Amino acid sequence: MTTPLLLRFVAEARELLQAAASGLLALEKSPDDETIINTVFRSVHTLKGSVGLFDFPAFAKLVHAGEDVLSAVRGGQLSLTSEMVDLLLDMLDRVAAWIDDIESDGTLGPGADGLSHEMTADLRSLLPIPAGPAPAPDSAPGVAAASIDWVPDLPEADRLDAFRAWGTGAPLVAIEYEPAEDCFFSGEDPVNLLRQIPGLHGLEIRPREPWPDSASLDPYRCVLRLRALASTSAETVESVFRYVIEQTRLGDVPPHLLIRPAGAPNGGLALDDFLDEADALVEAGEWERLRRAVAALTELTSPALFAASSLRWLAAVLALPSPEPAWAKALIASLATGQAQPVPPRGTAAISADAAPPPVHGSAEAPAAPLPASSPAGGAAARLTPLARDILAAQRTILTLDLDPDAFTLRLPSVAHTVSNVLGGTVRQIDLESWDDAVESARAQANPGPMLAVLAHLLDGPDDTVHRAAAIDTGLAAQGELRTTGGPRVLKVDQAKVDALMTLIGELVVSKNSLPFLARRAESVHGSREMAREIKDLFAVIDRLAQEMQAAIMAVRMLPVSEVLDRFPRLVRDVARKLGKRVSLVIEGEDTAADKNIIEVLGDPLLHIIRNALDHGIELPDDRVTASKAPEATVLIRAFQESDQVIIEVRDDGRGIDPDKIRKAAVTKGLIDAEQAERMSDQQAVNLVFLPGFSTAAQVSDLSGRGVGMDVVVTAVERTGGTVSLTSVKGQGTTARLSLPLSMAVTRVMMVEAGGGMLFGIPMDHIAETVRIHRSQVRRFKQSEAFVLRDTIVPLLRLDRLLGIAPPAWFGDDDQEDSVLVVRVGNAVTGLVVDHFREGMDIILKPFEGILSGIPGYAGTALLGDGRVLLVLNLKELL
Amino acid sequence: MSDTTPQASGARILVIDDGITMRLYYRTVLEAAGFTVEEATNGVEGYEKAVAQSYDLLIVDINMPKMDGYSLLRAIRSEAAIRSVPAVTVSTEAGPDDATRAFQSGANFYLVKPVAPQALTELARLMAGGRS
Amino acid sequence: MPIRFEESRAVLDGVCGVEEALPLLEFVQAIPDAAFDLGSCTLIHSAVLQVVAASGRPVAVPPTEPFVVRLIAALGEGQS
Repeated sequence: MTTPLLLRFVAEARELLQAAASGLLALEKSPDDETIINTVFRSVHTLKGSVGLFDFPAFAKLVHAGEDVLSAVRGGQLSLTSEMVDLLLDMLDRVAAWIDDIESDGTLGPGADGLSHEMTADLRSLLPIPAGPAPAPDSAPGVAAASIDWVPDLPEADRLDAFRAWGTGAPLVAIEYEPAEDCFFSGEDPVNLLRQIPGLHGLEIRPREPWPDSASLDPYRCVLRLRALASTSAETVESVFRYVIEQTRLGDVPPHLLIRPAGAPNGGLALDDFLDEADALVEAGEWERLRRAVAALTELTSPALFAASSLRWLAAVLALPSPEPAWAKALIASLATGQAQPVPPRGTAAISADAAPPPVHGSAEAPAAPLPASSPAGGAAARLTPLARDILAAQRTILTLDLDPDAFTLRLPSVAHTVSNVLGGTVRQIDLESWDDAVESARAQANPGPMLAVLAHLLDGPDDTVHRAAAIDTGLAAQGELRTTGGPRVLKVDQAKVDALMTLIGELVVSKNSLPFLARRAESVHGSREMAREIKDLFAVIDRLAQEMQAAIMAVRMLPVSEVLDRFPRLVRDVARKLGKRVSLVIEGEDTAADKNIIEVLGDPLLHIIRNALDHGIELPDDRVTASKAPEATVLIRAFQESDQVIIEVRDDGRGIDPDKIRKAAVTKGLIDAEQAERMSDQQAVNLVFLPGFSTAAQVSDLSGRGVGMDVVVTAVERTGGTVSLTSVKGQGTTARLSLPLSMAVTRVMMVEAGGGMLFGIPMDHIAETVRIHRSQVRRFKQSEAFVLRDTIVPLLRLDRLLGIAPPAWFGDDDQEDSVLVVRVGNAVTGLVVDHFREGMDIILKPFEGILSGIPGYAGTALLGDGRVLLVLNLKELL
Repeated sequence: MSDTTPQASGARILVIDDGITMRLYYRTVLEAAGFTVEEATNGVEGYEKAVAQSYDLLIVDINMPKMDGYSLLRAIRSEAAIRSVPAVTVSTEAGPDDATRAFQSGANFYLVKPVAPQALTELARLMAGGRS
Repeated sequence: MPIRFEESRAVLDGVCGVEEALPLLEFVQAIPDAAFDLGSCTLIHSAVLQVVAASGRPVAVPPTEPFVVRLIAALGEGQS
């Protein structure tokens, strides 16, 4: 169900719904803000205009009701209440759900009419003067065309091909071929005999009897029955089948048998107006106009629909050198009724509503569908079309408006131009000339009189105007010049395409890393230092270009955080109302941008944090007053960029977290012992809420803080390479701070060697510094080692031991140095002993898949320039 | 698709509508009929385009951000250079007031949404004419 | 070998003549979840096509040769 128009509609509708919803919420706060009212109204209004293009009556009706309510609000007849906002938001939700349905299968889903009816009634009951719409669904009792022949059952594409071939003058022949049961023994291969038929269009292969189960199938007994449709002469077919001619039957196929539209009912473009005029065009023989209308409609109709199928057939009929009016009419009737109408044989004057052929000849006005009789057809002389008359009448209306002379001067040129254009297309030269004269004298007199006289003659006079033979408006001058375009152009691009670019640039970044390896080889293997230098120079250029390109592509992927923040006003409002709390949500910095992957990850953690603030942080209005705070709490969401991180802070002015309660809870749960609790600073106690297992809703929710599932938040944020921190002042509020990388597409790692030559990558964000320490400096306490770095004791771990790799044999003495990578995970600093440091590198990190994904300690793998696979460590899990 | 259509070749139409679906719709239908279509997404942009280039027909949505259709038409009619371009307004509600307002502000005709492809094509052919 | 049997896949390759019908039938009789790979089949004999059709097993990899494509499509629902 994807026409470009429908897709465009879905995307637009979502934007409009979002705008309307945010507007409504803002409006509730400041109901007199005209700008906001206008925005909301216009969003719904535009949506109504767009949905009118499609056949979704339930949708259109509901949006219309919503628009009427908003219009009343805008006009001051209604004042907005919370209940009204609820109803309108419900309407927007309903419509959003329909948009999802439309996107998935092109329909509104079951029960749409009932839902629409109910909600429409609710909305309309708000209106000062309730307008009662009386829907009278007219069901057209279509007659199913039951064909006993197999040709109409062939796939539509085959029949269309055959039909087009017939249109170019080829005969149509149907072939039925039942090969002998023992034909395989005489070397026959029936299905491949069909290969030799020229102009084969449709093919159907069926067993003569139902298939036996495979256990009892005799593979050498032929039970096939073959049917084929071809555009070729019977003689040609006979010559192909000359050896099996007694098993073959041929028949002529009358082309009208092929015409049978089929497809999914409903859901397409509203066609009423097209149908109103299509019959008239057929009768007038205006094939070119009909053709163009059909072409435009086809483009706008989803190919799987019945309507699209009908239009394809109509196009095929119209493409004939001389289109068959009765066929066109039958197809128009099919479009009107949504069911295949019988198509009469060639040369029939009109269609019959009866399924039974033969149709009645000569009954020119027997519409099969409730189509209005076509207007002024019949006369030999073509006159002004109804629309042309309407346009001319409108010009007359304009000229008779009570205009002052200045205004008349302003309006005259376009009226003059419009009338000449209309006359230019339809009326004879003499009318055009008299119009030009009239315009001249009207201009001179500053009085519309002469123009009105000509218009009166055209509109009210005897119908003696004749269709002008030649059009003077070939419009050759219009091509080419004046084609400069102004302003920046915005391109809407499928996200998948941007993702593909991102993947490609990622691979380029990795591939370019092979150049230093190549340089090294040029020097070490081929002994050419010069070549090595050239390769390195080239590498520098490509490296720079790749980085610029990567930055450019990443910029395309950047989205504003408002993408996720936009839903919170609604959420906060609803939840606060439910909890009986009063909350004002303030959002700052919603334009801050980050990579779309980051933005997508943000939603759930933020939701969690905000829900926690509402549930646990913010007090009931009375409690707030008792604590001498304003009854309305404030939740501030603030987004901003800080170096290469996006920071999002959620700050509330609620009761804050009580560290003592947290300590007690943690001891009760056995996460820490009483002694540890004693030693802990308040901040450390607050951080306990991040521990998995600390928080299960029931026990924690009566604490005066938060804690529900904060470990979930931490996990989600850390997966992107971000961090979460929480600060709280008892009685004054809590601030949660998410720091996220701007982009997570490329990771910078440092390569290290461990376990005797194995390479590992360690994400650069964790590395504080690299140091070399003498073995003598290593202190040992029981099993653990540590060293002193600038007066701080840093625990020392050996990477090979951590990874379960045998450490290399211990040679040498205490003069030997260890290479230590000082890493920071969370707030803890650790020294990691490795064999050697290697270079830093940009990599595209691929997470483990399948059974490997369960292995802890690894973030994933990356391909190196020389083809080796680098294991990238996840230090959080490892340490 | 039919560049060779004699009735309509090359006539240029400016569609001014804030609805992206409507703009695609106009474009598809009118280009299929052989017109050249350009778009503007609000009244201000529409005005700038109409002044900067020559068009044979303006199709103007009424309810738009920045500058609504009526204001846009008044602005266009006060520019001598483009005063003669035929203009049609398209609104979603049908009422006698709308027609009068449209005509007073500078429209030559008005349509009510949804506009059928057939009617749209015929209207464009009648009002835009060709270039002589 | 015009037909290879790979686990539950029967891979029809190139020209598959009448002599392939029996082994193919035996394969579908033995393997309950057999499926066909016609990706590189260029000609399929009526007898082989009949086994494909009668077995009702899915064509996991559709053919690419235009006439074979046509033949498989002509078998109707459930086969492609």
